[in-house]
Parts: sequence; C-alpha cells; structure tokens
Amino acid sequence: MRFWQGVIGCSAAILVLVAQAQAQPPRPFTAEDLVRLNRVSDPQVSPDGRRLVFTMRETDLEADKGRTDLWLLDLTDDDAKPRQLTADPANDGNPRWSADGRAIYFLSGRSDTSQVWRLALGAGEAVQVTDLPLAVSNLVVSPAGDRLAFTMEVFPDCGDLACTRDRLVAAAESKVSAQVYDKLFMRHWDVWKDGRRSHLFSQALDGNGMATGKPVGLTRALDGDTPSKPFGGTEEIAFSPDGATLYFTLREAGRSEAWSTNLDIFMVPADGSAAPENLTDDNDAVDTTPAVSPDGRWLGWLAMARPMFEADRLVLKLRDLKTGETRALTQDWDRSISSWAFAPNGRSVFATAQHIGQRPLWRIDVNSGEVQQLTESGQVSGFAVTKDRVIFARNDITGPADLFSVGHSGRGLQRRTAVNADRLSGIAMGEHEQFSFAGWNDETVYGHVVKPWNFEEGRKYPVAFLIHGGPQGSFGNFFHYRWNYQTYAGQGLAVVFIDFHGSTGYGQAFTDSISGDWGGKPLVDLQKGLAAALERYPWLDGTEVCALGASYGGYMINWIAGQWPDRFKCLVNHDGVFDNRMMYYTTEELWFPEWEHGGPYFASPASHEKHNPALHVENWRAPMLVIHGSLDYRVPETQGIAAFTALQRRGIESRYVLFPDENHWVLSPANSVAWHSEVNAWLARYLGPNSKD
Amino acid sequence: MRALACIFVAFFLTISAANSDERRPFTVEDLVGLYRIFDPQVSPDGDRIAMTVRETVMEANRGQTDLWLYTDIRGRRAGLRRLTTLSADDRSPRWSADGKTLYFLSNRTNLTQIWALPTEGGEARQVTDFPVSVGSLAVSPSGQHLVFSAHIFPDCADLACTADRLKRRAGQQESGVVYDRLMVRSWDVWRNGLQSHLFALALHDDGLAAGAPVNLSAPLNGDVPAPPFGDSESYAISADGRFVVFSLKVQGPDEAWSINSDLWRARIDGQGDPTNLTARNPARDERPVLSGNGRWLAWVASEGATRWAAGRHVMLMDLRSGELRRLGPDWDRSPTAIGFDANSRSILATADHLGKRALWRVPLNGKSPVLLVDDGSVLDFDASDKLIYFTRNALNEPVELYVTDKDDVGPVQLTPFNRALLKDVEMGEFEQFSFKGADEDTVYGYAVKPAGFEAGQRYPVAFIIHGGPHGSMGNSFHFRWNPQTYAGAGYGVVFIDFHGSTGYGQDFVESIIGDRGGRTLTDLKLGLAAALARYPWLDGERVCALGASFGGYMVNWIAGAWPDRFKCLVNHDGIFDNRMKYYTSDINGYLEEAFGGPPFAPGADHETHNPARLVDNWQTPMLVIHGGQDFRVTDTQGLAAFTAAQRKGIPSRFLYFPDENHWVLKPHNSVQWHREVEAWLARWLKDANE
Repeated sequence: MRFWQGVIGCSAAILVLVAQAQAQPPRPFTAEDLVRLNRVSDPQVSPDGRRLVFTMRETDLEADKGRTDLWLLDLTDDDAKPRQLTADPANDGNPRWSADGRAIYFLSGRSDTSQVWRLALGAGEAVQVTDLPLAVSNLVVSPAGDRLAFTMEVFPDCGDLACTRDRLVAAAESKVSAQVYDKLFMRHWDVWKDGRRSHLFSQALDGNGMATGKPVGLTRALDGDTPSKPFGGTEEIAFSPDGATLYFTLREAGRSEAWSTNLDIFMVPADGSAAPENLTDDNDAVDTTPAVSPDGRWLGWLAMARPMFEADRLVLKLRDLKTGETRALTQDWDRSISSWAFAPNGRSVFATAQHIGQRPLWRIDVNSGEVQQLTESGQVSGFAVTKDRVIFARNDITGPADLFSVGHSGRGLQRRTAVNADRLSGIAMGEHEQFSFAGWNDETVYGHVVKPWNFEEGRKYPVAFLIHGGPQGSFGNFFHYRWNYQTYAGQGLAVVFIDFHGSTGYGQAFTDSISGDWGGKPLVDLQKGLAAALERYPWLDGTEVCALGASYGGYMINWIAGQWPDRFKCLVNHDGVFDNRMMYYTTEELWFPEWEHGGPYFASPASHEKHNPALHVENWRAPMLVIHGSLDYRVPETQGIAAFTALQRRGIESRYVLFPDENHWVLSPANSVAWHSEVNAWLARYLGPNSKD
Repeated sequence: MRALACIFVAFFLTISAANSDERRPFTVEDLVGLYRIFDPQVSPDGDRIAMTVRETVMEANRGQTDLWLYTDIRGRRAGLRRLTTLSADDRSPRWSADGKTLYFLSNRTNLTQIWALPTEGGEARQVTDFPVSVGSLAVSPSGQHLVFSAHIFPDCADLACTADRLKRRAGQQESGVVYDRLMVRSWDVWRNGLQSHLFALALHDDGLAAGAPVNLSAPLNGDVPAPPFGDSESYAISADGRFVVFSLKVQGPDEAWSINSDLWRARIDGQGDPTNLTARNPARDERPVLSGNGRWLAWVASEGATRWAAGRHVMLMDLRSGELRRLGPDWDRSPTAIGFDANSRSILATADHLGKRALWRVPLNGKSPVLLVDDGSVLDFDASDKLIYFTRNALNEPVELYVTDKDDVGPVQLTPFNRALLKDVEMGEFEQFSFKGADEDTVYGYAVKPAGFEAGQRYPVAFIIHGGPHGSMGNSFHFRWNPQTYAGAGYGVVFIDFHGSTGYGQDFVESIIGDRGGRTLTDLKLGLAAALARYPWLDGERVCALGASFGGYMVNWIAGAWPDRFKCLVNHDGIFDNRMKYYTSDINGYLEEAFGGPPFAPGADHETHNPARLVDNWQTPMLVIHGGQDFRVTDTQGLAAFTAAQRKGIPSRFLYFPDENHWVLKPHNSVQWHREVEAWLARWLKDANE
C-alpha cells in the first residue's frame, strides 16, 4: 500500500482537516459541486520574483458561464492568501507583468470586445490600453517593456482592421447565408471557417506603458494561423529577452492544411521591419512552443519527428542562437513534454510531462539533458519559475487545482492556496489506487480504481468502467472537469479505468502501438484490466458493470457493443465514432485518421474498415446511452445519430441526448449538470438495487 | 361553351404580343420573383375560386402569401380580386357552407390563427385566439364546425399547457434534449415532443367559434397531418358534417422505417375513440376524400408493409355497405392527389404520366380512367358541378389557374399573374424525346434549347439528373431545378427520366430496387448519347452533370463510375456514402428496400452501388452544395464529398447554406445558389474554351 499512501499526498491532508472541522456527516461529491469549483490557471511571476498573478474562474450559475478574474499572491510571505485584483463582471484573463513589474497587462471584455488593459499595482483601477476594431487574444509583453504582442482574427486580404470588422458586419446583415469553400478546412473543432486567420501583431508602448501608434501586423506574409488552431495559445508566442524579436508557431496552410502537422517556428523583428523567417523548415513534423533563454543564447522549442502524427513524442530542442547549432536536449528521455520554461539563470528548464498516470513537474539540465522529477502525484497544469522556486498549479483525483510551490531541487513543497476549501467542505471524496496488470502480449498496463464515497468494507459495489479518449491520452491521477471519477464515486459507484495500449505517459512505443490497431490491443487491455481489477478488489461487483467513454472512448463503446457485447449491463457513448469511413471523410483534421488507419480512406479502405464498429452492428445487444453535441466537428453528430439509429433499428434499449450548443465537450455549467444527471440516471437504471433486472 | 369563351375574351385578347427583338433570357431573379398560385377552392355556388398566391418580397427575403378571388366565372365581369394585403401570411382559404365567408389561416397576430372574411364586404375577423398556432384548416360542408390541426404536447390537457411548456423550455439554461426512440429529426426539425393533433371547433350561427376545440385524434399516438409536408388533404369532413376521416401513422418504435398509415373515422363532436378503417392494410392509407352525396370514401393507398416504392392506387369504400374496391385496377399510374367530382360519380386524380403530371377522371363505375389534361403539369384542382379548376405549369410557363370543361374543351388559362413579369422574357424551346435505354426499354427525356438559340451553333450542355429516384423531371416549371435558368444562361439542357422514374408504370419504378446505380446510370449514358445524336446543336464535348438528392447521389456515383465524361459536376445535397446515409437520415426504410435490408442484415448490400467505394477513381471537378438543416441527406454527406475531392487534389468548391434544408428556399439564397452553379458551369464549359 505504499503507493496508496503516496497518492493521497498533500491535497488529501487538507480534506481531512476540513472534514474534521465540520460537525455534520460528510456528503458525496456531485456534478453541481463540480461545476461550481473555482479553477486556477496561468500563474505568472513578477520580474522580481516576489509576486504571482494568476487567473481564477468562478462559476456564475445565473449566467450559466465561467467568470475569470485576476488574483495576486505574495510569494514573500508563506502565509499570504491570494487577493482578488479585478472584479468586473467581464472576463479578465491572460495577465502578463510589465517589464518593470509595476503593472499587469491583461485582456478583458469589459469594453464589449476583448482588449488590452493595464492595472498599475498600487491604488487605482485598470485603464484601457487598446481600443481596436477587433477582439484581441493571446497577449504577451516584451521583457524590454517597449512593446506588446497579441493576435487578432483578420481577413488576410484586408488592408486594415476596420476592413475586417466592416466585412463581418456586412456578412451578419447579408440576406445571403451562403459560405463558399475552395479548400479544406471548412470547419475546425466547433467553428465554420469564414476566411479569417489569426495574425500576430505588435503594439508599441510609450513611456507610461500605454499603446502608441497602430498595431503592426507581423504575419501578413504567411498563410496560416498564429497561434495554431484550435487550441494554441500564448505558449506559441515568445519575445527575445531584448524585446527585438518575436518567435511564434505557424503552419503554412496551402492546400494541405487539413492533413499537415507541419507547424514551424518562425522569427520576425518585433517592429515588423522584415518578413518572418522559418527556422524549422527542415522538419516536416510539429515544431511548437518556442522560448528564448533569459541570457538570449538559446532558442528552445518542442518538436516531433514524424510528419502527420500528432501524438509523436515532443522533444525539447535547443538552438544556439550564436552558432545556429541545434541539439535535441531530451532525445534520450522517453517522455513527451507538455509544457516547459527556462529557469531565470538559463541553466535548466522546467517542464511537465505525463508519467505513468501522473503529470509531474520535471527539471532538465540544459547542458547535460539530465532529468529530475520534482513532484510525485497528480497533474501539474501550469507553472511559473522564480530564481529558486517553481510555483505550480496541481490537481489530482481527490481535488481540483491549487497553487503549490517547490524548490528547484524538488525540496520544500508548500501548498499556497486552497481556493475551493469552502466549496469542498463536508464532501467525502472516493479513495483511489493505481494498479498494474499483464495486458496485451503480457506487457505491463496500468489502471486505477476509485472507491465509492461511502465505501464500507465487506460490501460490493457496481462499477463505472471509464474509457479515455484520444486514444493517445490518459485517465490517471487527475481532477477532470468533464470526466470526473468522483461524480461516479459520489453516486455510490466504484470506478475503474485503464490506460490501455496507445495511452500517453508510458513511453512512445506504448503510445505508438495503437495506430493501425484501434480495436485490437486496447480491447484486450480493457478485458484483462477489468478482470485484473475484479480479482484484486473484491468489493467490485463484476456482475454490475457499465462502460462509458467519449470520442475514442465512444468509439471503443461502439466497438465493445459489437465485439464484447455480453459483458456490460449498459454502455454510455459520448461523441463516439460509429463509422470509420465517414469519420475519415467528415472530421476536420485528416492527418489523424490517415495516420491512425494508414492513409486516406480511398487509398487504404481495408485498414479503415478493419476495426470499424459500423460493421458489427449485427452483434449489438447492450443498452446504450448515446450523447452528442451538435457543434462537434471533430466527431460529427451524425456518428451519434447513427449509433442511436442502429440501436433503435435493432430494438435495443437506448436513449439519445442531444446538446445543440455543445461541441466535442460539454462546457456550459447547466449542460454539464444535465449531462451528469442523464448519465447517472442511465447507470442507475441498469446498475444496483433499483436496476431494471 | 360560352362561359369559357367569355373568359378567353376577358384576358387573352388584351395581351400585347411581345416584340421578339426586345426579349431577354430568363434569369434566377425572374425565377424567384414569380407569383406562385396554389390551393384553389371553388365556392359552394361554383361561381368563385379562392386561392392562395405567394409573391416574393426580396427586402424581407421571403415569400408572402395572400388570398385572391377569381369571381363571376360564368358572367361577363369575370375577374381577379386580391382579398388580403397584409405583410403577414394569409393562406388556406376555405368556404363557409353558405358561401358568404372565407375562413383562412393568418399569422397577422403573430401566432397563426383562424380568421373569417365576409365575401360580401368588410374586413376579416379573428375566429380563434389559441396560445398555439393552427397548422391546417377545413370547414364542414354542413357549416357547423371547423376542423383544424395544431401542434401540442400529447400529454397536455389543454392548449395553454403546450404553450406554457414551450415557454418554460425556452427559458431554461440546459439545452439537452432526450430521445428514447427514432425519429430524432424529421426533414429539417429536431423532434421536440410536439405532435400535430386534429381538432374540431363548433361554430355559432354568426360563424364564429362556440366553445373550446375538441381534440379528435387525442387517443392516437401520431401526427395529423403527417410531417413534413402534410396539410388539410390529410383529413376530410363528411357531407352531413357529422364525422371526420383522417390519415394517421401510429408512431411506434418503427416510425422511421414504417409506411403504415391508416384512415381513422372520428365523430366530429369527439365522442368515442376514432375507429381504424384500414387496419387490414399494413401500408399507406392517406388522402381521404368524401363524396358530396355522402356515400363514398375514397383515398390513396399502397400495398406491402415494406414496399416504399410501391405504386399508389385509389381505394373506394361504400359507406353504406362497407364494401371496399380498388379503382382502375389496370390503371398503371400512381395518383398524387385525388378529389371527388361534384356529381360524386368519379374521382379526379393527378398522376405522373410520361414526363408530365396529368389530370385524370377515374369513374367509380369501373370504366377506364380518362385523361383530362395531358399538357404540362397539373398541381392542385377543385371541381364545381360543371367545371374543373386547376393550377398548372409547363417547362416554359410558371403556374397559373386554369379551367377545363369536363369533356373536351380547354384548358383555358384564367389568371395572368406572371404575364407582366415575363413579357420580355424568352423561354428556351423544348422537346421530349425517347430512346432505347437499359434492358432495351423505351426511356424518355427532354432537351431544352438555350435562349437566343441560333441554328448552326453548338451549345454547351447542362445535364440534369432528378432526385427521388422515384420521381420525374419533365414538362413542369420548377422553382429550384428549373431548366430555363440554364437555357437562359446559354446552355442546352438535357434530362432523362431513367429507370426508377414515375409516370411510366410501376415495373419501371421498381426496376431499380437493388440496382440503384445500375440501370439508372445506363439510361443516363444512353440518353445523353441519344440526345447528342438527335440534336446536333448540343456540344457533346462540353457537358456538366448536375443533380440533387438522388441526383446528387448519381453525381457522386458518376464521379467514380463514369469519371471521364463530364467537364464538371454539381452535387447538391447528394448521398456520398450509402451506409451512413442509412444510419443518419430521418427516414431510412426506403433504403432498406433499395439495398435489401438494414446494413447489418444478412444479405443486404449497401456497398455495391456506394459512391464512397469508388473515390479512388474520382477526377472530375465538382461543386458540392449542402444545406445545414438537411436532415434527409445530412450535411456530412456533402462535407465528405468535398473532403474526398480536396484530398484527391480535384478542383472543387463547397457551397454551404447553414439555414437551408434539403431545398434552398430563401429568395436571396436561391439567387446565390444559381450564381454559384452558373459560375461553376461557366468555368468549365465556357471560360475554359475561350
């Protein structure tokens, strides 16, 4: 049980304290609790290392949305509590310190569209820095204090910003609704493309830190988006320490944008005096997340080696900006870096990377490439580095993210916030444990179990068997806002989830092993993993199991429906792939199915059909809840409609839940609660004392 | 036929012949600007015709409907009068029994309600003020009741309950919608639990409502009329006004693949449960009509529980004896609309017939059906004791109101709604032709000359493929696929009623079951060759193929199975992948028939004729068009075709209408659609050759 104790770790200690302080009996965690939790993100350390600003999202249930504000934490006082800096009902976020540390620039929608604002620390409210015709995103501030950089969505052929705004207004007023496309993408993630590109701009600042002159477009010469869509952010844009140069990520679109992962690192003078230069043209795979060392010597970035493979290992590359020599610093470390930053002295970098069900913080020596793990359990979701410590946001199965601090050597771990202490007061979370077993080909595979919140020794509990998406992803020691194990534990269910072959955090070969074999090794792992869990944990009731999954997890539910049809009392398929052929032809990012199934469908139909759930509907018999969002363009909702049609046509008990305004994820608080109540009702119908059987 | 002569004088002599030198080609702007006339209703005295006329309001980007009256048919002051002018939609005129009032539907108070217009002068009065909209309307021949349909939640006890629930739903934050069975969507709407029920509303002597409406279909789980296209033809009121017969499909778990609708008889006072008159027929029973003499019930039926492509026929029930009879058992045409003649001795019926939609008289006494109108297409009709009024169009004429005598005079055009709009417009001349198609069967097609045709010139060709596939593209004037828009743009137009088309007998229709891409494609190949051989003014080197729905399926099929023939392709709302078409369409039973069962059933074959299977052969430039609200052929089918073309590096364009369904209906979108299509044709047929 050594691991068990380690996992409980620091955050559980807080819960114990909270529970003891309350006289009332504990209660279970619910979806209503989940959507109410405060979420901390984007920690930014002041230039002097004495203060930290971060963004916190609170939930406005009345408005059915999250509201972000800026908060400040005094790093010089270990007992300091965070102080709220902004309180406007508009979203305030993306805080960045001014070079002199006296003010914080941030983005706010308080003037209707998102613009740059500046809050001087000391008395006084924020003042508006930009008042542009278009919304501003992805703010970064020059370390020299003379310039901001940010992005805006513009029509590339427009000469100025007003042209883009006017064209949008005209389109909104037009009686013609037609949208014309001459190349892919037509849509991406949850938007129909309208011809705009996200361009990088810089904006000069005057001596008072206010904008002067017009923003300068830096990427007009390029055909592509900075940052990359749909998920790229400020981590793809970096100033040089002297503020003279900007480095950024962009994929040159051409006609092949939909099947290319060829993101490159570009450099451009921050004043726009020269055209951008592609620094990574020799690599046709992903190059992203640039940063320059504080001494200006090293340009670092994350790179993959294999074109068209989005789940290849991200290796940290360093280029000596004096010599141009490039080396792959983490080439021999079989982990894929999620995020990274230079230490102030430039001699090491800090990074996060998934690792056997956790996502720890790591320190990597810039000279030797030596890697040291700084944190044990949980998921580090963001961090900022001072000269001797790292401030990071961390969550785990038992609780949402809070800020922690640790020394560069990994010593002196401190918790710095408890932003949900009141919201979690009196709630009992389910205990969890990681286990491993001999999976496909007897290779070691890991999984987790979570006990029901009200676990009693000697009792047996029905099981929610969760299958993660990706498939190159992981269900591990994380606190997730959509697939949160505790919402099931809170319903009195045990939870089991397996990081089957293809999952991340177990070495690249393990990740690679799923491509071309979607329904093969993973299904074996799930079968063996469930059996292993049932054997190891006698409190799991193996006769009362439902399987749930989204995206690839939904694919697997559909695959299980035909390949393992007699195992589960019920199935829950959220945004799952039903038919590989039309998934190929209707998803947006074609590189993904082409890599996974060995080329375009028309070039290799057999490999797309080999593990196609649609071909085994004749075996389906398990009751299935199908859920889909209409704005899901990754796995279009026709995949969900198809699964429901198959079920209904075969006379199998089934239910379809439509979310017309949700994408591949359910994001609105009210919809999240509705989603959980539908899923919980479906599970209750088939599992436990009130089930139908 | 003095009456008809008068009419002739009234209108035809006043037309000034257009000067041919000034004539211009027909355009899409002309098309969307035309008046559309429908739903002619003869007054009880037989002397007046009320009708609904739609005009286009471009500023509002919509059609606006109003009521018009054609008066004094037999007199010398015959003429047209517009009855309503508000910008609201006024429609569905229905005569009161005494002929003094026109009931109609109008949304002038926002919700659509029943209104009454005195025909002897004065403005309309509002008859109902329900909290929900009225969908369709009929008036009892006895004058004592109105019968109407309205969408309600079936578990609601009153109309207010439905309105309240809709309001509550609109205000809730969570958007999740739950379905426990198919259908989740229908045509262009997500099902939301509403069902169209049939109500009767008693009338006071003053013609206004007396009391609350009575729900006649409440005990049944189903819609009256049937969505998405049903209207008041779904029900009929007996001559004595005592009962209603309506068509309803019980919405069981098999709704999405069942065609089993039935006729139900209900007392108009709502007493007792409706009785099923057609329980023995597991297929379609629809369009009930009741004879004026109170003796007969006739309706349109088909046979075979799973036979979606089955022909329709007229069934007749003697209401006194209950005896059932199929009319015209040897009549190998499939009626689309029926009505009793005023003397109750025959049925009038429209049916596709060799590339036209003809009007027939089918005698009740067993004699052979008689063709009454066989020129162009007859749409709606109504009969007085001596005359038959109908709306009709043709390949070179938009819809107008016509009249014919019951024997051999006519038809004579009564209305000139579109004459002024088209007086300077030159329509392309057309000709029907036939050839030996698949299986050596005779197959028909049409060729239309371009506007401004000059002998000796050769013209590029728009080769249009109709949808269905059990439909027909012939001598009609269509508001979406109108050959004249292509003729007006300088193209010769050719279209073929390939095997599977309607109007050529039921064997021809059913010949493509299990052969969706077979005989159809053969006919298109042979038909195009026949047209080129017959009409030297067609330039066979410059041909693009266009089609929507099944026509779009065929365009996708051609892309892989006949890839080297066309300079370009236009695929509107076309099927790319049969398998997912089956699993994602709002209705899928007809595909089970076409391919031998659901895809998962043993023996079913959705793959042999699946366009998605042949993408590796694709090479022809394709314009793909899809509507975001198309739930018949979902937009993912269009996305897929464009993705396939793009990934193959084939010149292609995707035109997406987020707010259109399987059809492009908004005027500005229609204009845009035609501009894009014409630009695509010009790019490959004109620009490339100049």
